[in-house]
Amino acid sequence: MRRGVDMVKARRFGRPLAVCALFLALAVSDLACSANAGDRSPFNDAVVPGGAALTLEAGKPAICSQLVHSAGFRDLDVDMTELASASSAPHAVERLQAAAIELRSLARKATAALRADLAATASALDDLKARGIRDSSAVRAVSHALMRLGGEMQTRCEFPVG
Amino acid sequence: MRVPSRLGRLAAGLVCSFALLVEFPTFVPESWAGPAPGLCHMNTARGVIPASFAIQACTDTRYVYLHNNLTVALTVKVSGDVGPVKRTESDYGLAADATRLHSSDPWIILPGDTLRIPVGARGASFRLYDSRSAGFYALAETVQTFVPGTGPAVIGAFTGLISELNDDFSQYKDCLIGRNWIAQLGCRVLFTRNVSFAFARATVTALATGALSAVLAGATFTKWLGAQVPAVEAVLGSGTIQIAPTQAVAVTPAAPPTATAPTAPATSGFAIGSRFDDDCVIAWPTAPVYTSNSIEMTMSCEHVPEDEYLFTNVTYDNTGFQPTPDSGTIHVVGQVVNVARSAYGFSELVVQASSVTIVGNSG
Repeated sequence: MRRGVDMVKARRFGRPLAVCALFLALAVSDLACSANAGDRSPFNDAVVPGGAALTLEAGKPAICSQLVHSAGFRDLDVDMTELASASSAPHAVERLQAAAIELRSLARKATAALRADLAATASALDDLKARGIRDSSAVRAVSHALMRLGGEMQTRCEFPVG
Repeated sequence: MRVPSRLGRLAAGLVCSFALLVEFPTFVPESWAGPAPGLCHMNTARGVIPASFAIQACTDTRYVYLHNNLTVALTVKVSGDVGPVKRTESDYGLAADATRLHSSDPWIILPGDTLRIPVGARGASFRLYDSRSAGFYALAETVQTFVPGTGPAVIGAFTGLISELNDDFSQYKDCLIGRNWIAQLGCRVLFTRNVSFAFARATVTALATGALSAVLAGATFTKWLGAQVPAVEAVLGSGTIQIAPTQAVAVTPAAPPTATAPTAPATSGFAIGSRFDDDCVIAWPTAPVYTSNSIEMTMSCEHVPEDEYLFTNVTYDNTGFQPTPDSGTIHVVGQVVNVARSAYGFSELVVQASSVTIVGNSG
């Protein structure tokens, strides 16, 4: 008798419970989505709009991880946008300076082959900071340095490509 | 070391899936795309509208109607026997004006546009493609909210700005290919500089603040990119509208035998008193009107230029002839007896028919 009641209850509440579980799962996944979308996780998100994801496979040289974890370097796009959009962007200038410092710090620990590219990128960022985003030669120098550094790092780190 | 964790990748997958749904809503055609009887009096005797067709479409055997109910600009590739297209626009905004000015494609269909394409006796086919102006339109939509005023000068300057930005976006997209995130930062630096220059050069006066930031925002690039994606996802695979030659209609079982002369070639004049001999359909959404001794039909006729005579008003003194709006093509022989002029400004050819024969019934 008792078992029969339980079965009726199970039938009565089974479906709503399943629906609740579905809602719960959706809510949890929604929270997970919000958390990922909200913070600026250094991994998975593309660094630039439409760009390749930022991931790193195991077993790569330490310099790969160190560059990935360099927040100032990763956020260069944000700084560029701020420099272009505002007549005065003191925070962006500060962050550019910090990025250049981080790159020089990495350069000191890097192999000779990488050291020059890291230092050249830091130097180009310094120049851009001083001359502004509308200075064509400064922009070209930064772009060139980043592409060269990207090529050098690729052979070691094998990042995903676009 | 394994960065990121498996959980991280799973979360990223969820984020990516969600982002795809949110960021590229134009992937998926509207649920009410495909056959759209509301656009015309559907008659599938010469061909059907594929259910998968990415936008709303209708055919009444003489015309194909296409209505872009998506949010991206498209183009239609037409082959076969078609007449001059009639376009009805519903978007009169700056973005639409600029896109029309910029595009040299006569077959572009902006969101909200309806094309009415006459199909001749030899039949035709219609297939959708993404427009080369789709990205331009997407960008123009974003920037137009920052532009005060309108008028030819503003439209011209705005078109110039969007054209340059569109080139910058294309260059940036190409630059990203085959590069990792570090080199892509290099692409982004150039892109930011180029967009900044485009705004500095723009002759659009009094651009509201925030326009540059809006263009540089990641969402704008996503929207620009997404406007071109339907080429792969929804548009290219949406099928072809095939309108068969009229001979195919003539052999449909329901068509009664006819002894009338073949349709006369296109006539250049419709002077009062001249002979009238043409294939016509009852113009949607009208219906035949009966008097005690005649039937009156508002018709569209194959060789009557619609820019001259919007309709052909046919009177036939035979109440035994009772076509319906579904009758399809009707062969009318008679005489032009008058030209009526509507208070709205258009003209109608008035024909007194001596012979009226149904040649194409609905399928």
